Amino acid sequence: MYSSTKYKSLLMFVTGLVCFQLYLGAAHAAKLWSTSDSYLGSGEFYGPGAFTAKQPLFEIELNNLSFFTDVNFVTPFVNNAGAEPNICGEKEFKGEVDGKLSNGIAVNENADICSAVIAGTHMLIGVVDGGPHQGQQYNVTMDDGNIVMTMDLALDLGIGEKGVIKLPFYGTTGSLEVPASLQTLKGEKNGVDQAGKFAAGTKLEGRIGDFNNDGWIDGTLVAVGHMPLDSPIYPGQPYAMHRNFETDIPIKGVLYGNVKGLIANKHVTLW
Amino acid sequence: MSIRKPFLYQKLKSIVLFFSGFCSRVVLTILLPRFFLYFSCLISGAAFASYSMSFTGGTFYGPGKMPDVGMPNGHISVIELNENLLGETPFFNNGALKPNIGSSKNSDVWGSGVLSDGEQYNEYMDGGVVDVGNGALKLLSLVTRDGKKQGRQLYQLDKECNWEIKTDLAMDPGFEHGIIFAKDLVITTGIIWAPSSLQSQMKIPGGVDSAGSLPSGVPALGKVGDYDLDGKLDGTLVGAANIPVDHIFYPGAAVVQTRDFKTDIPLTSMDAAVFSILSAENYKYVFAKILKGKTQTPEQRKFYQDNMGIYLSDLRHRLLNSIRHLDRQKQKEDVSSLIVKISSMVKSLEKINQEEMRSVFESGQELKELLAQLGNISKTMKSSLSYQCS
Repeated sequence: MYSSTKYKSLLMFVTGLVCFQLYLGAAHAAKLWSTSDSYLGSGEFYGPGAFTAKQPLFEIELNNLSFFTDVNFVTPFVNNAGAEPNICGEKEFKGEVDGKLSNGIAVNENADICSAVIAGTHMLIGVVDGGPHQGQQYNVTMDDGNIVMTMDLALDLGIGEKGVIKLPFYGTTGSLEVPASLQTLKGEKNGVDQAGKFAAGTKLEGRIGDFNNDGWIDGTLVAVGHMPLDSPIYPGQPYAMHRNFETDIPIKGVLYGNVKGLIANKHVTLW
Repeated sequence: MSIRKPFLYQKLKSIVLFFSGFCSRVVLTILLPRFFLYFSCLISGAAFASYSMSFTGGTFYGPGKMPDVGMPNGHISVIELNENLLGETPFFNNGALKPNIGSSKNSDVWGSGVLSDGEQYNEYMDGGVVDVGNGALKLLSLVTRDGKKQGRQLYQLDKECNWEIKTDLAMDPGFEHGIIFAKDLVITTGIIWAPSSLQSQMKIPGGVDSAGSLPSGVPALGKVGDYDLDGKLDGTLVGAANIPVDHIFYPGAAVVQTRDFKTDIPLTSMDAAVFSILSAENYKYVFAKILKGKTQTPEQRKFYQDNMGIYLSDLRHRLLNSIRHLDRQKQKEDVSSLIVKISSMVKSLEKINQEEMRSVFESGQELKELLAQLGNISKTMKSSLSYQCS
């Protein structure tokens, strides 16, 4: 039978393991935010098209980021209709607070996005259900260490189906090129080939690291895209954005942000 | 015990009530105004004639910070005017039957004869499709029936002999919530000032005080006369409005339009000369603002500095146009003294070169003297105008 000393050591080890697992579980629920208080602000929106006035980017907080590998995470889809918590934008925008856009599509309430004025028009913005991502937001770390973020985003003018503009979102901390308009890409002559001050072909660069030296991962995502051809405003015209973000993911974390360190230190992995 | 009236009586009563209501509406809104118009012309001895107008260009400024764009071509096929340029475009709509306005065929979104909210528009007026913000929105410009004028468009000369058009305008993007209404809009060949945003006017935050490249408070100038020398009335109309504060697109933002137009309204050389001088005289309002430098915002001051050369050049063009028409009039009457005086003003304008333009903002002495001369000539020539300005 175990002596009391050995029993105590075993108990301490199991307790440590449980705490470590609890830490792991807690660390899974990470957070990413991009607000006016973030390092360098929330960022800037360019365009669409020939709209060149300076536009601060709408604020966003991604809650309950769930790591499915050590470097990749998903923001799971959560929607509890009109009950709290609701996204910031719904409370700011006109109409009922019901967890939906004005065409009835549910929004992911883990992606807390404030409303925004884009090109002079006030919009409710949400990560929406019903698209390829099923309301979730995915984040994948590439071999070069850059992250790619994708989701089904929608802009809502508040007037029903006609005013809901679906924008498949692709952002990266790497680099992207501002595209030409959909009209130009189709070979038509009336396209506007710019996203605000950036002409089509301009390369936008993101970054990832710890630029404010607070020990947590932060950086800048860049994203480009087109307004759909059936959009009531700026149809087919390109847009771009610089999204500055911060996280509560440690840059030298046990499991995140420092994979080489993890291997070198031979920390316990549970998968 | 109640006595039930016979069914047929009830039916007849409701039919009579309906038609009397319908007829009274038709009388009040359509027949009565036309009656007074024709009656007044009958008393004054003036006769009505039907003309047309073509829009040949211009600029759409705004809303807000959207880039300026060119105005499309357009057409008004019926303008009934008396000899004082007083009259109207009557309301006409035959639904999907021909004739229809050409611009509604540019897209599948616009039905024939109705706006996106189902209201009829005047099929005599085709304002064209405005490509707002360089591809942001495509707005079909029409006169809606949903207004006090019931789809009519009214014309008159104001007391300064600018030609005014009163209308209820609708700009339709193809869906109901996007329609922008500018009811009781007054468009003129005179002068308008770019308005500030409705938010600023209401002293609430969120307003953008510019209409495209025009800061709030700066002018847009129209003109009337015969600038292409074809013997017919033409010029530039200007108008301004604000998008309603509850609209989905750029709420509260200011919009300014200039529209160049041509008509088939005959104009004598003397009348064309007088109109040119009177249109030139509208610059007195512009220069009065410029010379009050202290009341300008930095944006307005920069705008005036950047555009001073354009103003002086345009003023010179209007004066030269007057001289050209007076020249044609030489054989009919003695206008040589007028030509000499206006030519002298043109020479004064040519002397205000780039270097001296800076001094315009300091003292403006040359401009003040020129405006005084222009005022005197305008008073003299106005008595020769064959039109009565109300």
